[in-house]
Amino acid sequence: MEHASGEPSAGLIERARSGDPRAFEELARQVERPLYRHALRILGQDVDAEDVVQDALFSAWRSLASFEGTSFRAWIFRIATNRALDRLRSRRRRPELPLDPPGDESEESGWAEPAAPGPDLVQIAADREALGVVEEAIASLPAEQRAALLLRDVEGFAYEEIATITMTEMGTVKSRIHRGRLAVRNALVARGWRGPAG
Amino acid sequence: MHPLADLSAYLDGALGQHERVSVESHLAGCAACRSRLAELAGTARLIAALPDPVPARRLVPRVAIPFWIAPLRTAAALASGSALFLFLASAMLANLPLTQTGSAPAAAPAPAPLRTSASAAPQLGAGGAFGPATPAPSGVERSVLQSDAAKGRESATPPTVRQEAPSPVPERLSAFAAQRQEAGLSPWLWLGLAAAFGGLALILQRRLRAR
Repeated sequence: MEHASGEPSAGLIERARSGDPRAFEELARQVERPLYRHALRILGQDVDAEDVVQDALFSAWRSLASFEGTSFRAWIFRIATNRALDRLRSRRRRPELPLDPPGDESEESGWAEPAAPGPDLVQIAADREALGVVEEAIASLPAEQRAALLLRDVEGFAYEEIATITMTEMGTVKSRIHRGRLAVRNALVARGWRGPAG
Repeated sequence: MHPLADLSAYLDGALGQHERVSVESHLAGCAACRSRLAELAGTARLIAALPDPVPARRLVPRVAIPFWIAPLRTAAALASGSALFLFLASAMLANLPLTQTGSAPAAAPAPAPLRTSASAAPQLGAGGAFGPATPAPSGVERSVLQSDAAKGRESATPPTVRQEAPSPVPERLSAFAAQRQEAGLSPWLWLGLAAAFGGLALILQRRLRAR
């Protein structure tokens, strides 16, 4: 899988902003799949993810005239991420509580040590088994940590953009990405991969 | 102290100048931290390599399509279904007199042919056009039959009904038949309408589905 697809052309964005429905549909098609994979990994359910992306795109069409930022991708990902997190909250019994447990940002998690020598974590091949472990580990992360990690490693956004998308401080973004990656690394180690020798 | 918490940000080039230099100088002398950094890089590479799920349906809203297309498609499909139903109903009705006239005189050999036909006519009206189900009394006046014919007109009872009626046909009934023949809609017209609405629904559906 390739990294984040590029920003749509400025001309297309401008045409869509001025109300050209065909330009908007073309624009939406370019971000449809990235938005879907992002929403799906946040929500874990394909029907919910499809609804969230459809809602987000329709909402983007209605409010496109107000888009004044530099990155359309960051703007549409912000809409979709917020909707996905909102939907997660609404699924809970007490939606008013924060999604991630308190202390999430401050507590330092440890680096798990491999129990026995196994395949090298650095050289690890992206085979089905390894990717399955990664997918599982990401699914078990706290939601906001998961969103930040996906925005960085799958969608390729810069930390500043992730701070804007998730409406948080840079320090929080930095912490979420690091802790998320560390948790995935620890899950791999728990399955027998080891760090590089030395 | 190992700058473990900064390793991911260092990897992503997200540290400020001062922090970056500090992490770099630590890494130069610490094999353990270099190893951790390599592990994080390997993990990030795996996350980026996750397979790309594909949505089961199209998620781009059809903003380029006029809003009334979808309801019109539904209305056309419903109209097509209704016309098809009316076609079947009227076609069945067109065949009904054959059995009616064949059995009615045998079952009840009425002295007056008018009686048989008069009681058969309202039944036809009821079956075809959801008209009054109660049979007209014997000896009905011409005006009653005419009002029946008017109801038959609304319900589009096919004109063939009377053509297959047994002869001799009483005079007042043949006038009734002529009226129905004039006013009623042919079953083929309903079939044509069904096809036309069906075609419209299909065209609109293709327009909605096109991407």
